Amino acid sequence: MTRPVHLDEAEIERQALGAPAETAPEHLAGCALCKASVARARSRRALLGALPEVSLHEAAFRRVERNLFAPPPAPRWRWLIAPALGLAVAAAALAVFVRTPAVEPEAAPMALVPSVPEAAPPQASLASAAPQFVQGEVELQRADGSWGPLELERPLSEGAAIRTAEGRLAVMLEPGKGFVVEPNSSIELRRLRMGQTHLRLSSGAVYCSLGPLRAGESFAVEAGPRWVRVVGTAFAVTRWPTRVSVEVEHGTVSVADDERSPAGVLVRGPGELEIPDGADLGLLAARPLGPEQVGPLSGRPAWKLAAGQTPPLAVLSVTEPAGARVQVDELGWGPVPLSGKLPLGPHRVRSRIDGNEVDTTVVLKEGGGPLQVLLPRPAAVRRAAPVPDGSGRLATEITALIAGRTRDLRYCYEHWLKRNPTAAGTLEFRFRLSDDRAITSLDVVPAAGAAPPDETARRCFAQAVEGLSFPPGVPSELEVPFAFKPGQVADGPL
Amino acid sequence: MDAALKSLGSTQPSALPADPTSAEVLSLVERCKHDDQAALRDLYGRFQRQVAAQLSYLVPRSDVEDALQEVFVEVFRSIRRFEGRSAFATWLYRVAVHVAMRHRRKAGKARAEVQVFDSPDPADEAAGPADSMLTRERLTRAEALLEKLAPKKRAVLVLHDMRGMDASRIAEMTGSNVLTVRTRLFYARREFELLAGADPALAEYFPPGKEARR
Repeated sequence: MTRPVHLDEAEIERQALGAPAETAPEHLAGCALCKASVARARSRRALLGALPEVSLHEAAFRRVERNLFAPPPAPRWRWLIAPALGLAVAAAALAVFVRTPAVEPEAAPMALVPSVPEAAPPQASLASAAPQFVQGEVELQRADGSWGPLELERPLSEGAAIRTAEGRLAVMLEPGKGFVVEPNSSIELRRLRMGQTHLRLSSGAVYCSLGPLRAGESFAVEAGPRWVRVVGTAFAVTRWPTRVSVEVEHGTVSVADDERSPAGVLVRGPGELEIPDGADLGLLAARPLGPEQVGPLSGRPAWKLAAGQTPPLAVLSVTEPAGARVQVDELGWGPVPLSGKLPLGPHRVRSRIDGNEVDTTVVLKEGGGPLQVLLPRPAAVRRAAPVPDGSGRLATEITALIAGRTRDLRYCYEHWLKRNPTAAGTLEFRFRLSDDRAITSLDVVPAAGAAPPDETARRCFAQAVEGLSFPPGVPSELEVPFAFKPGQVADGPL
Repeated sequence: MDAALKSLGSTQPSALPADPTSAEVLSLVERCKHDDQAALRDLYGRFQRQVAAQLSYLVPRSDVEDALQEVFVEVFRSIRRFEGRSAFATWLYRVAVHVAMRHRRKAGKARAEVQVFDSPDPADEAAGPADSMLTRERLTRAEALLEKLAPKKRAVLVLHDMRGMDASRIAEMTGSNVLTVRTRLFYARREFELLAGADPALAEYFPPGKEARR
C-alpha cells in the first residue's frame, strides 16, 4: 500500500490564502491531517494579518531624540557675580569676583539684586487655585473644622487647609505656576490673591514650580521659622567678540535666538553657558522646558502641572483595585484612588499589584463625563510551599526561576476559571528533569480539595513552563506546589 | 503567494516606503556623513515614525522605543557606508531588521495589554464566521506568541507573512540566503501554530495534528 502524498508547504499556504475550491487537490477532501494543516495556516494568516499597527507615544519619540542628541552638561565650575547689574541687562566685560563652590561666600556688603517687593497692595483681589491631580488620600478641612476628601472639581480658595496621607495633590495657580503637596504633608493657603501666594507648610513637603514672576508678584512658603521666597533671577550676560556667555546666580533664564522665540536653552543657576556666534541653539538645548513641564527636585518623581492646558479636559478616576499603585502617562507612581484632569484622547494607565504589572489604555472622550476605570485585579498565583529540596540556596533559585513564569501561569488559570468558575486550590507541578536539568515531562496533580485542571489548562500550564532549565543540584524529580485563587475582576468602565 | 497575501488587505505598514530617495534626502545624508548635528537631527525627525512602524512586531512592543534608539545609533555610526546603491529607506529598513534580529529583551519588562475602555471589539464589526476569531484578546495573545519566537524566526515570519516580503528580499535584508529564510519560515510557522494550539484563547482555531508525512 502506498502512503498518501500529503500537501506540501506551498500548497497548504495557497489553500490557506483562499485558492479557488475547484483548484484544490483531490487529496484535501479526504485527508483530515491536511485539512487541519490548512486550518491552522488560515488561522495564522488571519491573526497575523489583523494585528494592528503599533505606534509609539509622542513622549517616546522625544525621549529617544533627547538620548540621541543630549548635549554634555554645562560645566558648573564657577560663577560670576556682576555687582553693577540689575535684572536683564546685557553688559560688556565687567568687574567681577570669582569664587569656587568649595569656598564659603563672604557676606555680601549690599544686596546684589533689587529685592522683590514684599506684598502687593492689600486690595489685590482674591484668587483661586485649581486642583489638577489627586492621588491617594488627600483631605480638605471644612468650615466646621472637620476633614473630608478633597474634590477635584472644586477650586481651592484662600484659607484652605489641606493634608495628605499617602497621597499627593497637584494644584495649578495659573498657567505656568503651581505646586505639588507631597505625601504626609499639611499645608494651608494663607494668602491666595492675584499675584500673591503665601503657603504655610506645617509638615511635609511642597514642590513649587513657577514661571517668570511679574513685577510686584510674590510667592512664598512659610515653613516653621523660615520663609522661602521667590526673588526672581540674577544673571549676567557678557558679549565677547565671537561669543556670548551667560552666568546665572540663581533662578533660571532662557537663551533664545530672538525676543519672542518660545524655544531656547535654559540655564539654571548657579551655572554658566558660553555660546559661540553662529552656533545652532538647537544643538545646545536638551529640550526646552515649556510651562507645562516641571523637572524633578531632589530625585522626586516629576509631576506635570497642567498649566496652559486648554479645554476640553475630562476627569479620569482610577478607584480599584485597592492596594494598587498606579501611574498615568509620565506622572509619578502613587496609590489608588487617583483622579485627575487630563486632555481628551488616549492615556496610559499602568498599575502594579501583587507583583503583577498591567498596562491599560483609556480614552477620554468629549461629553463622556468622568471616566472611572476599575483596573482588573489579577488572580493570585503563588508558590504554596517551600521547594522540598533540602537546600535553601537552591530553593531561592528555583523560586526566582519559576516566578518569571507567574504571569503565564496566571493567564492559563484565568482562562481555566472562565471554563470552570470553581477552579481553585493547590496544584502540584511535578517535573521530571533531564541530566542538564531541562524539563522532560510535567504532571499537574491537584492537592486534596483542589479542582483537577482540564486538558486545555494542562496544555497551557505545560506551555507556560516550557523552556525552563533548572540549576545544577536540583533533583531529577521536583515537585513545586502552586496555590490558585480567583481574583476580583472588574466589569469595565462605568 | 505574496500577491495573494497582499490581496488580504494586511493592516501592516508597507514593507518599504513608496517614496524613492529624493535629492533632498541624499543631500541630508551627505551632510550627516560630515557629522552635521542639525542634519542628523533632521534625519531622525524624518524617519523616526517609519522606523518605529517597521520595528513593530519585529521586537516586543515594550522594546520598540529602545530598538528605535539602537537603530539610529547604528545609522549615525555607519551612515558613511551608505553609497547610494539602494534607496536610503531600503538601507534604513535593513538596519532596522538587523537591530531587531539581534535585539535582546531587557529583563524586568512586563507587558500585559488590558484594554478597559469601551470601544467596539473588532470581532463585532467583522463579517463572516472566520472573523469571530479576531477578538481583541486573541489578537493580544497572537502578539504575545510572536514575542515568544526567537528573534530571527520572528523577523522572517513578520516580514513574510505580515509584510508580504518574498524570501529573496528577506534574504537580502537579513544577509542570509533563500534556503535559510525558507527553513526559518517553516519552523517559525510551525512554532507559532503549536503555541497557538496550546493557548486557551486560540486553541479552537488551531486543531492539533501530526506533521504530515510526505
